[in-house]
Amino acid sequence: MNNKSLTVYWLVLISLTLLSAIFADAMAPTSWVTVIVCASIMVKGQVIVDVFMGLRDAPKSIRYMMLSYFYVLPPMVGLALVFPSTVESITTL
Amino acid sequence: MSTLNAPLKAEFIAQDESNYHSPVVPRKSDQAIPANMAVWILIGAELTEFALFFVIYLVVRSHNPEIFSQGPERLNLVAGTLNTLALITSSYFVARAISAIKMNKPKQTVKWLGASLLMGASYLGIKTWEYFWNAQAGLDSRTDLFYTLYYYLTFNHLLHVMMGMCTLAWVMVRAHYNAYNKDDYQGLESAACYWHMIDLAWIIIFPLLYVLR
Repeated sequence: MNNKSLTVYWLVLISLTLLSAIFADAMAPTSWVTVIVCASIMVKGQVIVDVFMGLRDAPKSIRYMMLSYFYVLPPMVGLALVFPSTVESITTL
Repeated sequence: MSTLNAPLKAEFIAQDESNYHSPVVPRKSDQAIPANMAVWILIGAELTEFALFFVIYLVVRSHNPEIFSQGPERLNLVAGTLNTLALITSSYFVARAISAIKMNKPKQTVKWLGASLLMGASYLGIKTWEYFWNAQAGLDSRTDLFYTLYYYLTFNHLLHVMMGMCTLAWVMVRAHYNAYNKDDYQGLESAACYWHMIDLAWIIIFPLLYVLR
């Protein structure tokens, strides 16, 4: 990964962060906003793992371990926020 | 019996010898891992800890929807955004430090690590300002469940940032004394991976606490 590519990915991460902040400030909390924000978390996670950590060409076990974090948690967050009553019923003793 | 097996044996020996002399082509799974295995175990443990806190947050939130929908509105979004920008930028600087050492430029490595530490210090400054801002607004860890989890998650993360900064400062000193070069930079890479992990945790904490209502 050359320095120019690193800079481009850094700018992508900055843009996604500012986009999330604008959503938080200006938009009503709808399901679509939740989905978009969770998708942006997945993209940011993948960029940091593959580009900044340099795991794109690393052994699959470590790369998949790190990527799975961002393939599992953001969708889980999104589902929990869109269907809170389901989470509540599952976790009520 | 032995006569029948003789050609097979000769073929086996020939194959064995040809394998012995052929160049060893590494499989993808044999590629060297970045940093070392101990760091990846630590990173796995730390991320698991954060994941548990995220699950707890989601469960508590589902039982207290009103408190958790109002909570983010009272937080300082500017501080949260600036902290995210500071951490992402510091991760970028660390990636540039690794890139520099791969080109055998230790002086540039030290420069990028110094810039990364500066970003880490900015994070600490912004977080301190945010906590004072909260206190002036009458918000603390006992305000309600949202703020209890907010303080627990952010303060826990803050401690990780401080630990990561100490690690970066250590490898920066070592890089200054030419402890790393393009063939040997495992210690530097370990510190870099730990620092990126701290960034990874924050990019979930930020939307969870500040953005998603």
